[in-house]
Amino acid sequence: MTATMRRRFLKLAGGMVSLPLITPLVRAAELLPRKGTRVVVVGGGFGGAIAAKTLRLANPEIEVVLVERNRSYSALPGANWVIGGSRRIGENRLTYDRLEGTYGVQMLYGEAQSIDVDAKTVVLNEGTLAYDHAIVAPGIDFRFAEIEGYSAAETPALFPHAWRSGEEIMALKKQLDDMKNGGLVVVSLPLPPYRCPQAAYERISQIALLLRRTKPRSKLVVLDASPAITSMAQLFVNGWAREYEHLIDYRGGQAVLKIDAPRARLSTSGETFRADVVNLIPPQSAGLLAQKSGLVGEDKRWCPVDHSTHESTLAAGVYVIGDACLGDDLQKSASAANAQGKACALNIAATTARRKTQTHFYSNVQYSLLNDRDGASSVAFYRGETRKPTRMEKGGGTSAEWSELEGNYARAWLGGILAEMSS
Amino acid sequence: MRHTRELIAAIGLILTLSAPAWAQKSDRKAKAIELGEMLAQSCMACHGTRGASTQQAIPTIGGQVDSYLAGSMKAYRDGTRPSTVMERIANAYSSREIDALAAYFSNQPFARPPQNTDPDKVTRGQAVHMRKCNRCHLHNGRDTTESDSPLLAGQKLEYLQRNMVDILAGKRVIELKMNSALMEINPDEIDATLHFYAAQHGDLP
Repeated sequence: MTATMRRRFLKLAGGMVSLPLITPLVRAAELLPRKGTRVVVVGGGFGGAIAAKTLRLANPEIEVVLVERNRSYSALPGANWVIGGSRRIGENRLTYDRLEGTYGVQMLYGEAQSIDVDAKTVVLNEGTLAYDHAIVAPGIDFRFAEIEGYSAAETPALFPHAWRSGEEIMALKKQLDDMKNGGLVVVSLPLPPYRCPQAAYERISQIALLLRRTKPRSKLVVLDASPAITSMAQLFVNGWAREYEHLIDYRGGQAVLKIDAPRARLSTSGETFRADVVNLIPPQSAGLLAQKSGLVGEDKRWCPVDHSTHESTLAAGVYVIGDACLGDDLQKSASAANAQGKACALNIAATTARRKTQTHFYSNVQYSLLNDRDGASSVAFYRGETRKPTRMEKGGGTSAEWSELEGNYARAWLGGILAEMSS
Repeated sequence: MRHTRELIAAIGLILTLSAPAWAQKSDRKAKAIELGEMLAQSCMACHGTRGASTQQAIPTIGGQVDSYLAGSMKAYRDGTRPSTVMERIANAYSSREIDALAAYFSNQPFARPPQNTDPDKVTRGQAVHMRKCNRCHLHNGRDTTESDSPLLAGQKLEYLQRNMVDILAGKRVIELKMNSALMEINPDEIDATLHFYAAQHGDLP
């Protein structure tokens, strides 16, 4: 956004605030006058930011506006390592300055309220943004209501989930640091699909590392709603046995149904725990914006898309990418969102230039660290040949074992993908 | 300025009128690059935008020699080049797709941002390069046209070192002449040479 545009935007926003009674009556004003073909990208996470950059790289004629609520982004991948002590949270923070300065993405910092599919506008409190194509990367929201006693306002501070932003990891880490040696930590995982299950098992590993080092008499109980570990299962089973044998007590098929957070209690169907620290990761759905824009399907949770294009099956011209999509259970990851964003952007650029689009092809590469040294990875490939997500049989798979070399590559992967989306 | 424009127009005319074989080859290459663009997107999360790596452990592949890139991917796929993740990745691509990836990445500029290197090693490494490596890795490892040897100038140091460990351990199939060159230099000289390659940055002189 140029200085003039920013001034215009602020003036406009100020004007709206001073005329609250009139606002609903007048047609919302266009925030940035459109000059040519415009793509509005909503959400500057792993999918949205790289989609915006790729569009500008593929066709600089296209106007790209990225709507994002925060000026500083704090990534979730690698935030687990902060708990184990091998990363500082500051390394996970990035800004959008270079997307704007180097690639000419127009940043609009604000909260998108909804997508008006008929009018082809993104609606913000301050006004609207007209689009030719919209790429929506709304991330996740939580289904708090499914846990009895959960208060959306109060519970996250007591039982942190640390599952939406990297910054949230600090509250969980503080609780762990403050806990006595010999305490009980409970980590609760929902049933898939949810955001990056592999990261949940990495989270457990990193909490165990902290406990082993600083409070070795403590216990870590894992209540997993899944009957068994869903990603890199053999690697985690072997790794935990080797590194954290008497520390981790993993229990599959144990969903947390009821909590009393002020009294530090949580219950499954058969058991109640009183824990010193609780990392409760609630069941999830597509982000609120998707719900308010009519992009969520019959399951009332996720956004159905045509997997050959990632266009919403419920709204023409709106492309949904990332964790919010209905797809493969293990597909919700930073890597998959990044790849979907690029595939989507390339085809929108091709359509705009009246060139042939190409079959979506992308990988999902997920690295995890077992401790502060050893890493492993899982890889899956997808081809958008049909409307359903098609996981390829050829290619992909998981590491044979944990290794120091893959620990290095885990860090390089994170550094690489953060640099790619922000510089 | 005007002369330059006329010159460009004249060259363009000559190229347009030249043999159809040339045009066919370039057309095939253009198609491969187009197919490669979509396939290449996944690679960039690790290997950087258009293959310009930002990470020491990960090689730059943008601007690398076409045949070397394709050969590496096929070697990862059949397991003759050792890897952690690359074999699982290369397995997903057909040979035609690998050729398209190689066409796409080789068509990008080779980015050479400055790296941390040891000046003393750089000087010693240059001497070793001139003595032992120069005949294949032409122009200080920057050659783009005359050989199939990979570009080394500006490649990431940590990657070069890791790769050399595999070569010296006999885990990577390499050309005989490379093998004999390596037998004639000691480990310190090898490391110095890698510093020399990594130290080269910026545009071609």
